[in-house]
Amino acid sequence: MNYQHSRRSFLAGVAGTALWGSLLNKLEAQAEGAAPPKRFLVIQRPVGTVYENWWPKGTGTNFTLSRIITPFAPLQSRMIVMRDLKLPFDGSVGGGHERGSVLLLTGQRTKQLYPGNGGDDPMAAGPSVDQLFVRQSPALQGTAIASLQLSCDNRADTPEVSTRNISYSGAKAPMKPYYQPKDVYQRMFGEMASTTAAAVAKARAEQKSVLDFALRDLNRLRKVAPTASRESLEAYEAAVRELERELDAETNDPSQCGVTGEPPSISTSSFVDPYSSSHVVSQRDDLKHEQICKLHFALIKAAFKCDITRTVTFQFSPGTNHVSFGDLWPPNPQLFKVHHTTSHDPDTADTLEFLTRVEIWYAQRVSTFLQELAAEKESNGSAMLDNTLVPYVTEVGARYHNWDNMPFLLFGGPGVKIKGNQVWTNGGKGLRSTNDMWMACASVYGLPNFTLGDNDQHTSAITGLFG
Amino acid sequence: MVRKRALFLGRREAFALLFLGACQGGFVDAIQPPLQAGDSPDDVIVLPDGGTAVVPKPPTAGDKSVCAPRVESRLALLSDLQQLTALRAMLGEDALTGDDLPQAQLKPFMQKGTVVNTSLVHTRNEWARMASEGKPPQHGCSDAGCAEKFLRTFTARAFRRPVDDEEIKDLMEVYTLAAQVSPAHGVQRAVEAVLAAPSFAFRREIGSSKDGVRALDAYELASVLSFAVSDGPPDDELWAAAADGSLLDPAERKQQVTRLLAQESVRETVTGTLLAAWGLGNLFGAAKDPTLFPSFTPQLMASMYHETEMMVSDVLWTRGAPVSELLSTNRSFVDAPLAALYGLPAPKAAFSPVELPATQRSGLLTQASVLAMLSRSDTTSVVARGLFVRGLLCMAKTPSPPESLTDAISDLLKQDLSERERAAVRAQNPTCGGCHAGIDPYGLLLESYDPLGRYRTSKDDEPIEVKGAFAGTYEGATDFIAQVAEADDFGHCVATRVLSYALQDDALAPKDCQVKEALDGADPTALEMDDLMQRMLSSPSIAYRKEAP
Repeated sequence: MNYQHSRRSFLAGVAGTALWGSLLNKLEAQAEGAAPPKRFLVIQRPVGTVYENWWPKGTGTNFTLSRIITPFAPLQSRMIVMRDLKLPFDGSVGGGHERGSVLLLTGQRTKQLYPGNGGDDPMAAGPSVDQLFVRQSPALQGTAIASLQLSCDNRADTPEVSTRNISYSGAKAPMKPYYQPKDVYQRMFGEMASTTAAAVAKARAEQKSVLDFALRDLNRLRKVAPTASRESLEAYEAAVRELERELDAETNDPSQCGVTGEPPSISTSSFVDPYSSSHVVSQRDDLKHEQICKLHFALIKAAFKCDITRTVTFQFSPGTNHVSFGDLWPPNPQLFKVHHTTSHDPDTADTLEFLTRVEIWYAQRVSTFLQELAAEKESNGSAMLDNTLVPYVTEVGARYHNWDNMPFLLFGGPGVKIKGNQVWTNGGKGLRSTNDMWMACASVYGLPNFTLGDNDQHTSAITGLFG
Repeated sequence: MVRKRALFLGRREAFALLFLGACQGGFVDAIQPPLQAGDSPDDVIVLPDGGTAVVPKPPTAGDKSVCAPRVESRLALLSDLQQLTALRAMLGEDALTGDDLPQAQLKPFMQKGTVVNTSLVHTRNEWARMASEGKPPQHGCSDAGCAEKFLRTFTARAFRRPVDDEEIKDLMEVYTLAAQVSPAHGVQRAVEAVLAAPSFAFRREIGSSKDGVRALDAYELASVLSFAVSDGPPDDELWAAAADGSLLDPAERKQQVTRLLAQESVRETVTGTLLAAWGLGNLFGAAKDPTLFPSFTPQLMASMYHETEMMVSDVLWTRGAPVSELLSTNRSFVDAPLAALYGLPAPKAAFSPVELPATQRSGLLTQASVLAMLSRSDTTSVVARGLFVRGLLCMAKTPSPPESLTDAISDLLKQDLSERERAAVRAQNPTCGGCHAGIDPYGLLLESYDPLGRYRTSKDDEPIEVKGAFAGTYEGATDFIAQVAEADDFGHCVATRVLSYALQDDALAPKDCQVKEALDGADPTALEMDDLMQRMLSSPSIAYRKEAP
């Protein structure tokens, strides 16, 4: 049974009562025992990995975890380590992290660069896989917010677009992430926190009248606009309709979704570290970085719990990560070192150890969060992670900006039929396009015929990942 | 004028052989014959106040002898910065504040990357809501009749055209619902609706069919002019000139341009547009090795940028000098750190005017901002500087290096070579040499400036040899720049950029008839910015569009 549908039918039965949507969720779930929805959460960390500390020993189901993957040991039965993957990078334009960030989820050849921005900032050539899934799969539709994009740090080398975004609604159309948890909170709960249900209903009606005016204006524009401009108007209308659905959805009480209150505004460093320095800086960013990521994670969990959205892309930072870390620089843990610029240093043992420790730092945070999702019970008794497919990805293979041997992990559970506890390889038959992996993921959402990228950028959906 | 050009063309011949293959492209493009005006008489329209406006006949589409419009009729999406500026024009300068709003210094020259999606619409709707709540308009209305009157005027200015009754009827529905709280709240929500409407976010360039092309109406023209010079909507006087139709007369457009260019904020915007055309915002992404260049702090970066703003502003607006002086002037503005960089005594007050040493400095190309931006963290970049010179003169675009050379390029950059030696390696490689022959020599001329833009005669105890570029044609950077400043290319290019920005047409080139028609034979080395902008913004390519399907 469709989760949203069951909510609606239940709502009809209690029409007129001023209960929060999330409370209704629980009531209707108890009443009808509906299966929880499937969800899609992409988590990206920057700067690739350190291969020697990443690859597990062994393949198939017979393997031992590597140093960087060890934090995921409690999730091993839910995890697939992907080997033999490459981004479909042939014949496209853009720099290392830049091109990788765009290809990661769009899987389409980049052909144009944004002017300026360092001269290596590619434009996306099409929508990203998360947006395509939402558009094509009823399993991901029907929520208040169609999809959410979050990031924990805004800094990149230049004003470049490519590394700051991984989700695209279409060519050149980034879905810009929220950086402040506070802004995510407001998008999810709006005016809910501080007012009555009647006041919320009134405010929403007014907001809907604002959107309605935009739609009528669009209709008038459509009559005079040349055909070439129609596409923009269609995109505008689709956006207004999406915002309208947010206003139509039931309101959620944050506390019912497991959030205690509005997150604070967190001021972050704006220091951009230059390349050829020692990359030692006077302030450590990792504590605030962690604070922001944790708040974001809590909001993602809340969004899933109250079914506010089913599709999320999360970036720890742009690929050119300027976050500085304390405690991790081997020769002197007292020093604060910047992540991405340090990766451009010569491959000394200290550099590699530092990059490994940053990878572990990110792995630990992700593992902690995924374990929370594994502990969170859904209406039918299953765990939230059972029903959530979580690719853990990055925009380059390693510090030398390669786009092959991508160090990806997949997490999930029985609800998404993941065949965990395995190291997947292509059986000695060379590298497979990451698009083939996304095509396999599509089957989770009932899209067996989904394809991504030009014909030479994919072959077929990878088999053996999902039951 | 003709003599100067001939001199420079002579220089071109000296290295014409260096251009090969895909990189073939003129240093100075051949001048096409002037265009013929249409033979039918212009329309004269009578204005409401009894005056007259002369409306030229449109260029006839399909007639090869006239210069047809390049740009199709369209809805043009405002950039984020323009949307913000327009919002503030409606509700006040302090209508929206925050760290994450678009900054003028980082504005892109071309909006091509801006595409409508949920993310964009949601952000703009939030702006509309926050601005109308935080800074509600002053109207004093306590009933629907008064509100409707206020909203009719407000909406017309926000949509930058007259509004019809149906639109106001729809808007009053927004008002009526919210006015249940209070009339003021009703107006506030209606204002939010106007500022969140697509008619606010899109500029109309639709016009009406006339002799096979689309002629923009006076309101559309007012917006084109206004956004071209101020990134914002028409002010009261421009609005009035649209309302009475006088703006259809190119002579009136010239007057309006001159009037607007007298305003400080407009001058700042136009200066910023030129800086954006040169990509100077990338300076803020520049990074230097702190062990080699400890003085390169964010403060110094900001000072560098500000110096160039002030230099450009001084040439174009304070002195009203020809645009070519942007290349030749020695007058600049420094604070103490910049003075040290230029080897001058510290000024009495920050950003005092100074004369930079003429043997070392000459205008924009020798400003610290440009030179520092076009360097890597530890060394200069001959390629980046060479490409910048090409862009500054609107020379043909060079293709990106082939993908197959990525590793070779990365290896070349890792080798312990000087920039001059790297250029020599590229010149000897047949795949690289073709394009780099048209790039590197310009960069090599600028090797006299280190990665911070400091003048130098030697590096690592080796003398800097700049004379080798272009087979010794130029004595050095200042000699090269002096000759460029006397040639037409730079003026043509500035004119092209002005028109490109107004039309958001990034493929426009100086050789195109639209630019030449607008320049109308003026000597580009003598053109002042006011005159140049008058010519470009009163030209037919501003007023007409191609029929779009």
